[in-house]
Amino acid sequence: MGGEENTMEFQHGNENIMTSEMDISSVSNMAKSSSEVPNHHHFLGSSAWDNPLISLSQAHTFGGSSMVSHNDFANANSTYNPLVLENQGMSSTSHLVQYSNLGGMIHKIPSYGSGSFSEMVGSFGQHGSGGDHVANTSGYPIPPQHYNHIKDAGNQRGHFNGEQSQVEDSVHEDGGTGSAPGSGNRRKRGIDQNSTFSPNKNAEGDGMKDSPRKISDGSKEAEKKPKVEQSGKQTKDNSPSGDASKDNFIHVRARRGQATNSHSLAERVRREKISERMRLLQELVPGCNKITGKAVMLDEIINYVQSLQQQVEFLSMKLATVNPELNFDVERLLSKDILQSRIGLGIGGFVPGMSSSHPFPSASFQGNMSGLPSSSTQFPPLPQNALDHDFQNFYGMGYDSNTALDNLGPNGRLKPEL
Amino acid sequence: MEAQQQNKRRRVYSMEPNKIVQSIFARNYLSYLVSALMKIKENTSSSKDHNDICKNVKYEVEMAMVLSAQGFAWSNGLKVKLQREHINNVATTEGDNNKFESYNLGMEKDLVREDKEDEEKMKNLMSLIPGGEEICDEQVVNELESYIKCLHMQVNVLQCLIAETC
Repeated sequence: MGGEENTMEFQHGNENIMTSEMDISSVSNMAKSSSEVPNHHHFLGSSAWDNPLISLSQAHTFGGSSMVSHNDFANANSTYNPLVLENQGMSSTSHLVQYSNLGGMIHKIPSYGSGSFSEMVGSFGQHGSGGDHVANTSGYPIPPQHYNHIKDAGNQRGHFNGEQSQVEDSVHEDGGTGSAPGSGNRRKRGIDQNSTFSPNKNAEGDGMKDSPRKISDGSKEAEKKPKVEQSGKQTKDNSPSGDASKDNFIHVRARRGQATNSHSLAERVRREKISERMRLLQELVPGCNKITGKAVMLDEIINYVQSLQQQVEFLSMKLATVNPELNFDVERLLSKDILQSRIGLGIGGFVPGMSSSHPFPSASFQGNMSGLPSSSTQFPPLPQNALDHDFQNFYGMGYDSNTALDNLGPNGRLKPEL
Repeated sequence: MEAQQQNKRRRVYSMEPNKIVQSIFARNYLSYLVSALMKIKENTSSSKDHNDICKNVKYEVEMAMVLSAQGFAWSNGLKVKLQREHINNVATTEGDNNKFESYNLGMEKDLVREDKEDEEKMKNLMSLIPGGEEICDEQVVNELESYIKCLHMQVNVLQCLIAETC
């Protein structure tokens, strides 16, 4: 199982997640039971094993200096087999990429190497399996179940930047990359978490941050590991005093026959990540399903974006010319089949359902334009906010949209009415 | 209860939540744009230049986009760009031309290493997205996806709008 995980870095992560989760939970159990175990000598197994793999997932379970024991983990004894992704079964020559994005995922389970899985899952989780699941937001009492983990994993990817992990134990913070300027996906939840957990994280983050650097492993690769991690993950924010923790390293392990230079490792990690995302984009751009190859794909995407932008411009100019004769009826527009079909609403009745539940009548709209913005707010605020909120995440409709649907239920029928 | 919630979540996923997102986007977009267009229509006097109207409409179109899709880096970038241009009263077409140019330059460079080419293209792609240069690698795909989807929806909405009023 560990070997599987080792070699399947970027492959579809669901299985990994499940197995990893089971590993983690088992480890956490063990960790709790043997919290006293000092990191060093417990895992000094085969000293010959210069495996640079570092398993961060256990780090925090053993306190602040856990980072030091990474290599020791690699040589873990049998009791820690499951957690150490680097199983004994693995040949010493094989290395693997392991994302340890600790703390990102688990809010309640300590020692969950969520980072690694979240990173892996996140790459594919975007598909809608929970890219931005709300699961780990502060407001939701979501138990740390496997299901949530998967969601969170998918979530994490998008949330790296702005979001602090919901850490309640001494789990590594995930927000490290969150400090990237612009904070790519500046989710509201992420911000909430930031404020909530920053004090927590500061204390731990600083302590944790130093320990990886102290890894005094003899092997060169091990020493390079922190640098790889640093360069790989925290490209933008390196100040330890930042409110985001910097401990979400990417633990990279070179595959067999590949260069183990830290730079090339990081490069490879980046490349593979990008290629994963390219696959996601393929679904977006029409007609790109058959294209293989990053360059061509990029060209297609660029062309598509340009054409869309040009289209928008053209349409807006046309709108300008048409403007004087405008006589809008937004509700009618929204309910038009054209709009629905173009947007591709599978749920044809959804929009009419929504508009029928609108409190404002169309007549008043036409006569009173200024009333439109206010009337739109009359729409049940909760689903709107929830859906907007959800929209930001774009993929994780789960809980929020569920709320929205619930709210729409009593307010308006979801069946087509027109 | 939580199990139920989880089940509900599952259900929502299978219902293609993107459709809901799209409808919300359309609603937000239209609500803003329509009101803005009405205002423009009211303010338009016969003496006003057609170009001015175009600019205003373009501004409103993009503003509607920003407001309908908050939370993305590109939407903020777009907002910043719009504000800057609105203040300077510069047509947005110039900005777009620049983008196209930069992309062409990138293509002409004829880089040897495939990675560098890809990187170059990625940079071009990022330049297409408003505020895209500052997006870190991690978020690139997210931003791209959302931007493409929003563009797509925007085009749809605009087409419907025009079809309605013609």
